[in-house]
Amino acid sequence: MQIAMAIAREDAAGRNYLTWAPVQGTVRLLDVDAGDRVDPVSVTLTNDNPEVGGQLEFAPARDQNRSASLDLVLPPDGSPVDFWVAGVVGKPSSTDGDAVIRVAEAGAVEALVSKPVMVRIRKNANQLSPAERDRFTTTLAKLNDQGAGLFKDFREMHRQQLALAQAHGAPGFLSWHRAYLLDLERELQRLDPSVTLPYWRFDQPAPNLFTADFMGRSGALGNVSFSGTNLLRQWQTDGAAGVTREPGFNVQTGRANVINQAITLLLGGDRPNAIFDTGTDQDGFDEMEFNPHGNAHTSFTGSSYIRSRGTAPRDPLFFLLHCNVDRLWARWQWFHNRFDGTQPNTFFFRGSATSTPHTDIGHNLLDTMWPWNNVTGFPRPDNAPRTPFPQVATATAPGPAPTVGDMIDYLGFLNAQSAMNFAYDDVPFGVAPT
Amino acid sequence: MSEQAAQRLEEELRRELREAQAAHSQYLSELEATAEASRAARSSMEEGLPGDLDDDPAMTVLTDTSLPDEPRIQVLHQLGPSLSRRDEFIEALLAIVKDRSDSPAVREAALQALGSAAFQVLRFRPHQPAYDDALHDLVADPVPALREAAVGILAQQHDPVVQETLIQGLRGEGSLPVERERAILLLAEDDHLDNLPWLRELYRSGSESVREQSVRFMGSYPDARSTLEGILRDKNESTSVRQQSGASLRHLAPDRFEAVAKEISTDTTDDPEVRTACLTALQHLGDTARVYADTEFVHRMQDVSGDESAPQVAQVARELLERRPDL
Amino acid sequence: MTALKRSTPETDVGARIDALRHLARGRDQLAALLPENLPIYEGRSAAQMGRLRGYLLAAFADTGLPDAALPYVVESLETGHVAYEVAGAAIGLRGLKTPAAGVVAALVRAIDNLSGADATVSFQSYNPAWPYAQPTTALTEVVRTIGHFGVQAQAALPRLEVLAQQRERFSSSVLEEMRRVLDRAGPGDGEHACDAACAGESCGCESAVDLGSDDSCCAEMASAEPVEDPTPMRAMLEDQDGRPERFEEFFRGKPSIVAFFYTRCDNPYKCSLTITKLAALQASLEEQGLAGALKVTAITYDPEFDLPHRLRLYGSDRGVQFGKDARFFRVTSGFQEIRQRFHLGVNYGASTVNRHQTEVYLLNEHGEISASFTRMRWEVEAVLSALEHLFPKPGQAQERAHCPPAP
Repeated sequence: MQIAMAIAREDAAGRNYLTWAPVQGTVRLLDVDAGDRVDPVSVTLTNDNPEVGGQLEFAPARDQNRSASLDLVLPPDGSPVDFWVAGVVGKPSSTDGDAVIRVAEAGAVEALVSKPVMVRIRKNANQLSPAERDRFTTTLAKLNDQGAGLFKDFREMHRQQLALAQAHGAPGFLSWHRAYLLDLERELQRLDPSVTLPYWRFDQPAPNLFTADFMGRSGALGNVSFSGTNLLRQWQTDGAAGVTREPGFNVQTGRANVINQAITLLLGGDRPNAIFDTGTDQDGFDEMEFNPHGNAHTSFTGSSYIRSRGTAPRDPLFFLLHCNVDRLWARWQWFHNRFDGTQPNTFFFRGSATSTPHTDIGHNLLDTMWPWNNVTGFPRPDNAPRTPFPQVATATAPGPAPTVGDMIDYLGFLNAQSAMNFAYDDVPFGVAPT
Repeated sequence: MSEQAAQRLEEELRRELREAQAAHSQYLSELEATAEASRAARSSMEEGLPGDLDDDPAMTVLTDTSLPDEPRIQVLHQLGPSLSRRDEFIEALLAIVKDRSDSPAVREAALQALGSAAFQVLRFRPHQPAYDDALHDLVADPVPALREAAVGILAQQHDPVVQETLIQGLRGEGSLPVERERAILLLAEDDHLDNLPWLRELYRSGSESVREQSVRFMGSYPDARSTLEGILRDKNESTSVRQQSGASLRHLAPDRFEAVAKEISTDTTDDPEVRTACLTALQHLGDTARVYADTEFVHRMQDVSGDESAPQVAQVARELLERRPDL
Repeated sequence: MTALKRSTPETDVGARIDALRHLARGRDQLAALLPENLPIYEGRSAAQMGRLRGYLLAAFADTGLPDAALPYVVESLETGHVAYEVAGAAIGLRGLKTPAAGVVAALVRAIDNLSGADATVSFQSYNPAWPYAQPTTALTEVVRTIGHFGVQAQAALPRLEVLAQQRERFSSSVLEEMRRVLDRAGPGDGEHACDAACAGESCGCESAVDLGSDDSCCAEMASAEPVEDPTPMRAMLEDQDGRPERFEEFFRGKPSIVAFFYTRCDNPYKCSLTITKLAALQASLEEQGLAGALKVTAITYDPEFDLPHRLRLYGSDRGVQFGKDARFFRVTSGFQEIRQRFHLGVNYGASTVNRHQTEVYLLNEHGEISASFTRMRWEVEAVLSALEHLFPKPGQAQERAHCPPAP
């Protein structure tokens, strides 16, 4: 007996990369010549090895509870039967293809078909395995070396106030940086599809991060040193080699001078009741831009690249810092059901830059975001160095010129078409159970 | 499955939030008490705050220089985010930073807060000139940490005023606000200055870390190419400095780096860490097709990959061979 | 006065500027110090060049601003990204009683360029020590100069009215200066009223206001001196793919556009914008079916650092489509020849460019310079008009759409 299994959103090489968001799959009988078969076939979908690798869970429909196995009945005429599959929270993959879907005839041991996939998740940088860490640093350094993706040579862009204003100091800050990170991650995945952006949990000690094998060991006067196998040694930005970074805290035992995760999620409005509430002018977003985001940057001393807004992206740590900022937003969304951009407590300025009320251009829900919108000339900057937004087979969102609002339902919780194929290890799909 | 995991995560977060809320409520009570005492003390001395701030316990405590450091710094930590949206908060921070009679620890905390506020670019625009002024004031401040922070921030912005101060100091025409080595490295952040002579001075006299920095910055000066090659080849130099020299040479002259890296990586008498760094760069970066097209080099990699006297080099050599494109 | 040299200390050059500002013929001698390619500027750092330029421009407020200096002032307003230089330009502009065409637009552009990057500066003396006895800011001076022109800058007032209400954008001192200027100007005629809350991408505020026509292209063409059968150049080039070319061989056979740039330029309004516009020009030519009519090229000022891979990335990042007739070059030998042939507006510090103007040239099919677009902002349309005028298609009546023929 032969069966075929396919999962939606596979890449050009036929590989699937899953997150916690359910993705549709189909199973069908293949050997159905001349209608010989008359009886349907019962099959079971399971994880090939429940002890090792990423784990998956299955359901017959998108909105139904998922479990470790799923029984399906395949019609004898070969019609496909739908199922939905997602990664199991807490059990992501470590390597590409270590999560294997196994389909066997009901009650049988031997698999009829197996499909390796990856439960590809953004993880805590301090907890990466050496292999995960090295894949990330190698791929990031290669992207940097190619002058590709976000590392296109626009050194003067850091000095242009209009460019900085597209992303900071107004409510679109979180959406813009979510897009920025996803742009980078997709470029990394073009080189190595098993790589994700890790996050720097800056409110906890992260001794494994500040080592010569990872983000670099800081020495005297801002020197950052790397081991022989760490390709980040070859890092270059703005026509100069290396990184200047001088932590203002003990990187082995201490942490950045930031408010912790819980307090971050309490920001906005009148505390203690307001919980990252957007209020009348998106107070919570504003406040978190100051601390923990701003304080994570300024926990490094004077000349450190990451300390100043004009030079921060020159330090690769910048991307891990912002990944945690985005994760905090994602946690808030999950905890309080904030996926509907049309609701004021998800996003206050729900019109465009000419609506009433409105805020600065690029920071209203319906505004497209520079640079991906390719709009130049005042009030946008003169250049748009990164257009269009990278499109991938594994996701239908966001489009080539995303709006602020397009970045909100990143898991496709409200609309499956909005899923962007990234997720955080401690932010499940859906809404927190109450 | 995920449902149970989500449940656990939710419970954990809810517990954290309860604890944070409780701690914050307690803090607000303590703050109110401290503010009350501060107001009373100021009233008795016939001082006062501007009217609208007088009712704000956070601003009352933050601006009271007679209080110990801890409650004032705690205001920044606990309530900084909500205060950051107010112009008077930024103005108060600027006043604290500029007040040399105030506590250094509070001034440092205020400087960090200003740096964080600067990331709120749109909101910070009206304060930018005053912030720059405060930084320029700090260049001559008696507190070393504040001086160093301000000089570092301004130098990274390529501020011409602070650059001139550093240049004059290095020439002996004025005093240096920071130590000489730091001054040279701060100027080196601007590749449009004549930094190479000072970087050479730093290389001759500095510690390993400082030498590593100096060769890093030399990578912006084509005239330093032969120096960088010499340092990369120098077996008496430290591993880390040689590796950085290689990175800088690759930045300036990738073809030259490729040639030297091939020699070093096949030199069994050379430092394994440096050989590893060279091989790692050769197989991943730049014109890898040309590297693999060098059949003699690839052939020598076969020998290196079997040399267990340098296991890490052998491992990287094996990876290089495994990555060889199909012919 | 003793001649200034490259070895003259910076402070002595500053002292010379101070001396000239009080002399009867000082303004012309000051103007003579403006070209960045003068030998006295060789070897100086970019920071020094910025200081000298700002202080020199400001001096024209005392002497009057001669015609020869006006393009330099406008350049600093349009493309300055450092407060000191922009302030100096704004102050120097007050050496005019009547604003020339494009000047008011340049002042408004400077406000947009510098909001968020304004800083305290001082012209109390050359390179004064901090703290300044007579501080000001760049935006304060820009607004003050708009006020200086009074009714002749009327067209800028509606925009200034909008800006004066943006308390979240400007410091209190700049807002006060705006208010002073507006109060002195009195009520406007309302013809160009703008929605004060307007912040959209097509709110029309800018387009509704005529801030002066831009005849820069005509001035540049009219001033281009015909080059008579120049000595063949021996300069050698290397393109973005490492292929060698001889200058003389490549720049023959069809007209070319040549832009000068370097990849380490820190100014977002100069090289990066120039190459972005070059790519836009290339796209326009393609759209009009003229892709084969013109070679599209750029040459780096910084050949030692700007290796081929850097040239390629810089161009492609900004939309340039490389091909047989679209190439970026570094000069591998004979850079001085190039520098002299084009009278390049560039100078060098110890290792790289210390200052340069924006410069783009149209060459005819013999490699001779036919038109130049230098110093001030150039627009793609102006280059296309010049192309049409200088190199009309065979059998096509010459369209005089824009500029008078060169004298």
